[in-house]
Amino acid sequence: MLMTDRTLKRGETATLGVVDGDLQVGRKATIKAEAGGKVVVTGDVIFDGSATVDCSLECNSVEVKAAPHTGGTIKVNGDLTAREEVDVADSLEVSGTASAEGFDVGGHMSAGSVLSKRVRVGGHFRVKGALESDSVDVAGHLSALGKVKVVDLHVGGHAEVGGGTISGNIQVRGHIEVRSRLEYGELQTYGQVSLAGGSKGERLSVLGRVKFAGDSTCRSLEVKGAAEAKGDLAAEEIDVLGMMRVTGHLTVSKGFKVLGIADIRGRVDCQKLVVEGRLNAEKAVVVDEADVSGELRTVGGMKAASIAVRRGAKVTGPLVGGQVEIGEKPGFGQWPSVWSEVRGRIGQMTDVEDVYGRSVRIAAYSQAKRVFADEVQMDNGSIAHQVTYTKDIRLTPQYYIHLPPQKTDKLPDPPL
Amino acid sequence: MGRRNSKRSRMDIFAEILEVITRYPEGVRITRLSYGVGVPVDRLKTQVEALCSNGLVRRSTNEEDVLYGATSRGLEFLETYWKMRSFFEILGEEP
Repeated sequence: MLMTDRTLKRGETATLGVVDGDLQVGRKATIKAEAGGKVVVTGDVIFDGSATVDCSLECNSVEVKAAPHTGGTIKVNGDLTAREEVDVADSLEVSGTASAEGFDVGGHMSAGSVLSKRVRVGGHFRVKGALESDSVDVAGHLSALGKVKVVDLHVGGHAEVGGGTISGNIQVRGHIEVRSRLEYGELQTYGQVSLAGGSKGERLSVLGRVKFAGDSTCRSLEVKGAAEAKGDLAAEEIDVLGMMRVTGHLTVSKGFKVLGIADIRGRVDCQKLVVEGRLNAEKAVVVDEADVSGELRTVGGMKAASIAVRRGAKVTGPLVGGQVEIGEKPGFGQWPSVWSEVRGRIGQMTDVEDVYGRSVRIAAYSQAKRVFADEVQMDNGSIAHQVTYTKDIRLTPQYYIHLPPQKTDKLPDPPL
Repeated sequence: MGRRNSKRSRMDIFAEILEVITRYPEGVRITRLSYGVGVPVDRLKTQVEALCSNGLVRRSTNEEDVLYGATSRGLEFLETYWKMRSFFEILGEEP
């Protein structure tokens, strides 16, 4: 039945069909549907306070006023569809799908699924099913356990997300837990991040902890707290200021910088490596240069085009490189300042094990076990157990080699 | 934001107030703020007054309403609050 503008009194229960105009609803009123389980309002629906809609509701816009102490929770037992805005001072509960141009809810919002361009919630926001919106801004906690398709997500508290795509900027002040594969843009959090295996992102910046529950990819990863990857991790750039643990292999197509402690159970492959803190790995293969001013521990060794082990640094495991400098003075800004254990080594001998290279220089206050190279230079105060070379050896008066240097036609094959 | 099942400290509530306020760059009324923070208006007014008098929240009035907005000092507090929470958690302390 078609009706013109309609007003429901406080506490009234009304059965409606189509309202041609606006609908004014008094506090504690209940709306039921005539037939088809849906009420259609061609204009706006204005609620004076809390009310129940016992069916689906379709309208132009929704406004819910609420004065202090009266409350204004709207319950919709069905779908809520608004062509324009839904503005609720207090809370909104929709059992089905809530769709509108925008939702602005002062208190809490819950829905079966949400389809909108923008959602702003002052309290907590809970979605059981799918969440699709260009922007989602929640001051409290977010729980969206279905698939999400969001551009920008800002959450003041904690967030639980089922998985899907958040292509733009994600800012979560507290923790964010993602239960299945997520494709993300830039994710920044002060708290903890837990990502399901297979997740893929552009940039991840974490002050707290990040956990990758399986093989993951992130173009740029900055870990100020702690990172743990169960599986392989691939990235373009990684900066570790805190701690990082990877149970699989780590592949970094550009730079890998360790200022804190990185523990990689598998192999590390990267373009450029800087270790100012401590790196433990099964082995490391670096395409360009490796610069170690902290501590490097490998089982299988490290290979790089050029290797600089700075004064006071310590390397466990063989080094294989083209040009290798042991005991170089740190460059500007390379004195370890973050990691006290490394700082404690300043003034100590530079300490490496076997070195394989085209050209190897052992500088002052540095010691190596065995050196195999075409050309070797031993500076004053340098120590080696054994030196084998093919072309040239340059020795200063105060070097020390345990065994007499040996010239050979062919060097042994390096371990990497 | 502090978990609702544990008692919120005064600092948690200050942070929650600022979190809600920052969602409204156009300014927010005390009623809407109270629904977001989950604190009754009369109690909330005391907390907001403390934030205003310390320069963390700005009060402005339009024709009929008093609106609240965050100051740069308020945003600084919020960032510091979350950073400190993160450090406490990393170090295994209760925030």
